[in-house]
Amino acid sequence: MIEIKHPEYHAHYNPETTTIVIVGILELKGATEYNPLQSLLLEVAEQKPSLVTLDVQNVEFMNSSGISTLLRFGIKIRDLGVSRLKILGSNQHSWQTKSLKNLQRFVQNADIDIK
Amino acid sequence: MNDLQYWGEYIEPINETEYITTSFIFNAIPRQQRWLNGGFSTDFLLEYWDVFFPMHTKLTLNKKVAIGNNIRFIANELFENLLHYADLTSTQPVRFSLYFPEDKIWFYITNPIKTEQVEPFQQFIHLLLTENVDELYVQQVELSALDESGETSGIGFLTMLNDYQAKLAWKFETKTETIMVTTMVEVAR
Repeated sequence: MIEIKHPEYHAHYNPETTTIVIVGILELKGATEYNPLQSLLLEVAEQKPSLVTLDVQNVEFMNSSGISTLLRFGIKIRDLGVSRLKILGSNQHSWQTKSLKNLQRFVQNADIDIK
Repeated sequence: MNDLQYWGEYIEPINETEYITTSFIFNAIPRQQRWLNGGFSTDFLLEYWDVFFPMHTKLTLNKKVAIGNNIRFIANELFENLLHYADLTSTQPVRFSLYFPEDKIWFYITNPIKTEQVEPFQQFIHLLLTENVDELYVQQVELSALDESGETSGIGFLTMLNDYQAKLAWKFETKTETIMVTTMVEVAR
């Protein structure tokens, strides 16, 4: 299990379900402060599971630097060309309905499920 | 530079419209990074919006929450931009205002900018106002994926344009040797 515990958010990867779960509020400043999360995401991508699920349903807020971090993860998955990407989102949080769809610009066959 | 320059469809705010203004001198704020990071100001704006505009009680709770989230996102990006584009050593105050005309929200942030930053910033503004924003967004994110630092240039403005259908405009003015820039953002309510 890879895990990040930050005062404002938690993230962990469960290798059995090949699922990354992020929870909390992400308004960190710039790429530097997103480094730990970016590393976690890229590390999972490099393990090349056949399916990677990214569950952000309980991410209440995310700023544009955070969204870029997710997009760079999508680009990594696309470039490695092995894993399928599934995103679990919630329409309760407007950043998700507005911005998660951008992942499909980079990973055309990503499955985005916003409930 | 001329004393006054406009970029995009800049609208001078109308004082009769309900509004809130806050201003501060950046270099007088201790631990500025934590202050910005903690979302203090955006939280304050959100509470203000929620409590002090009773005419919006007609809106459904979901709509109110959505508007609050949009305010939070855009205000957060504008404050974060200060770190990139503002002259943080200046004693000129940064001024932030929100207006609620009709079915819109107007955001204004005015800050001092270093003389040498004016041209690169205006070149970027020119790109934002003339290029296909969709393509620019994809291009900047792809570039950042190749860059070790991972910084995505201008992603805040590009996200506002792309995902929030925002309109952006700017005013540059010279005040007693300091160049002040006002960024205006308009979104639907």
